[in-house]
Amino acid sequence: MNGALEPRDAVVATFEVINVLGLHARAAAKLVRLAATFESDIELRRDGQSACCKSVMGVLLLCCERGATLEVRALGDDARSAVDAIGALIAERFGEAE
Amino acid sequence: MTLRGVAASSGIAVGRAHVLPRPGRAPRRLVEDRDGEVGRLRRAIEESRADIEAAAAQLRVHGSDAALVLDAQLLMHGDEMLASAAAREIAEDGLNAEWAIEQVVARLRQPLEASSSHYFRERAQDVEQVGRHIRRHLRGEVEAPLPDGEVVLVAADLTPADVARILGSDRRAGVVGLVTESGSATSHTAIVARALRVPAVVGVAELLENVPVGAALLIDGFAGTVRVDVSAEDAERARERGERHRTLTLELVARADRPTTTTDDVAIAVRANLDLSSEAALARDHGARGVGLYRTEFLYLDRGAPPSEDEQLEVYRSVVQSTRGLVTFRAFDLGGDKLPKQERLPPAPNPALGLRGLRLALRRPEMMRAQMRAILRVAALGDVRLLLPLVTTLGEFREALEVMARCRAELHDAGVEYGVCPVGAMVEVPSAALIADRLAAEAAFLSVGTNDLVQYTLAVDRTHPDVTHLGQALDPAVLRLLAMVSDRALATPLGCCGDMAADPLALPVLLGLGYREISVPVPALPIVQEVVRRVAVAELETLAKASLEAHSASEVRRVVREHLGERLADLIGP
Repeated sequence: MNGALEPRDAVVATFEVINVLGLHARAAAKLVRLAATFESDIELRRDGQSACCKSVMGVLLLCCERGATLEVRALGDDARSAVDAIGALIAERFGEAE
Repeated sequence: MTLRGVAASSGIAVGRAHVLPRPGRAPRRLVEDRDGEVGRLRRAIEESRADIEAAAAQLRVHGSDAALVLDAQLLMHGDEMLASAAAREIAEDGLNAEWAIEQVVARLRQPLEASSSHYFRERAQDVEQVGRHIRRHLRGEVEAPLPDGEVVLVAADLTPADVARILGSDRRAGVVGLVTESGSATSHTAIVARALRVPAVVGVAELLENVPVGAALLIDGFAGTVRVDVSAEDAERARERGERHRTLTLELVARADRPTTTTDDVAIAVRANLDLSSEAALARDHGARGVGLYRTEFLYLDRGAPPSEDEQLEVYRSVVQSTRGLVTFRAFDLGGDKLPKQERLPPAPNPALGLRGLRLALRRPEMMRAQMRAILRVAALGDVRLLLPLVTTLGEFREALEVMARCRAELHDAGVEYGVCPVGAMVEVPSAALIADRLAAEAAFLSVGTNDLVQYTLAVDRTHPDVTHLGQALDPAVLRLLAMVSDRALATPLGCCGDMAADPLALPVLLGLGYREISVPVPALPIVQEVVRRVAVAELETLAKASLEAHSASEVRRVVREHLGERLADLIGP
């Protein structure tokens, strides 16, 4: 899955993880469930590592703590809405009360 | 042969040993039918997932926080990264599924273990356990039916998932008890066994070496012992004893609403000791008039960071709402090596005399304040007290009161709702007993913890087999300290929340010495209430005086038996 999505076709945006626990198991699950509703291929990158956004394990293995910068790149017909939706989920702290 | 461990869940169980082997390394072999092997892997993952799902559901029903652990494991089961990667190993290298899954798990663990975050490092354990579960299904071990009849599970280690899964399955009826090598009375396995009400003994050294498959085992979940190759006669007697105890308890619980007043009309508050918030409803149904000791340290075990103020508030609220009467929250009573990972201290050479209880709390002001604020906030919802553990000097008690006052002021300034919360001191160190008058003048109540008081007074390590016989709560030395505390407490409410209070022969002595608030583990409530109803304080005062003059613990025991043996015969047992 490394570097599978070509930059010129992909919709790319970066977000900062702001919830206390970072991309922990349940946040990862929410993110993966959201990603699965889109047709596009979606990839997450952090510090040179990348992961398929539709795999909980992959997302978890990025070990994103609070403050981590996450790059989301999507390729496909609904790429734009996918990136926007993911950005919104991260911004609203995965719906967790803090 | 009798093996000793720690009583983790009360009750008597007799059954054949079903020994789960120690998890070893996966075998490595070539397979002919690669597609078939991938299919075998997929089936095992699916079975394992269904298993853990059922286990999580079980734990949720019983309200255990352990269910949260399983959520992450469930997600991993459903993940293609695990399944596809292992399937690829099989397809490309023609190796067996057990080996493939172990390789994949090892690779997945690496980045998690290297993370600087405690949270992600802990998830490495989840990945490991997921691998173990799947491998077990590959071996078909879970499918191997438990032997017919009543079975005692024997294992080096059981995860909360293992326990809940086995006891939640349709084979549950056959499993009458659990024994493990690892664990303590506070481990998750013990907590889960209690929640599911199965007798359990944990922390038994060299268990697997000493228990052959199919051996007849007798588990005493009161004493913490396991008898191997027990004779049919002994097994029968134990079974009868367990049965009698169960029947009597049921009868008493059915009439638990009767007041706990002595025959000469002295009201005794009989309350419950709780480890888990989910036990609160059970305590209420057993007739407990409140909670005399809620051990909050369980909230802090096995996790990366201490629980937040809000998280604690949620748990405390559920305890208060399920309790009839007041709730006594004991501030976290931990040793430095039991703290959440982020705060953990290296093991001390002499932990019983080191940084623990209130001493540790005063060194961790942030943790202490979060807890005090949560307790003050829950005090707005009900009758709540705070009990400070291991108080040694008046100075440290005052220091804690100051922290409490500051928390109150902060909440007030922030406009957060809070309530009145009296603060009491535990008397479990001889120094606290000796200055009981000073403590009583400043504390809202005193509660004697006899387990530690016995350990510190008689200089006995409770886990040391060669000296445990010296650690008797009825030793006249301990009784004299208890009498001193009672004399000096004057009008300050005085209670006892140690194991001593749950012993039907020791309880009358405590009542005779002037203790009026008794707190015991939930299973002990019915018998303790009944003892109270059958005695008169006036006679017990005479009995207590005689006990103080006795020359040994066994003499005290004999004196109590002579006076009350007949009246309490059905409650004392053989």
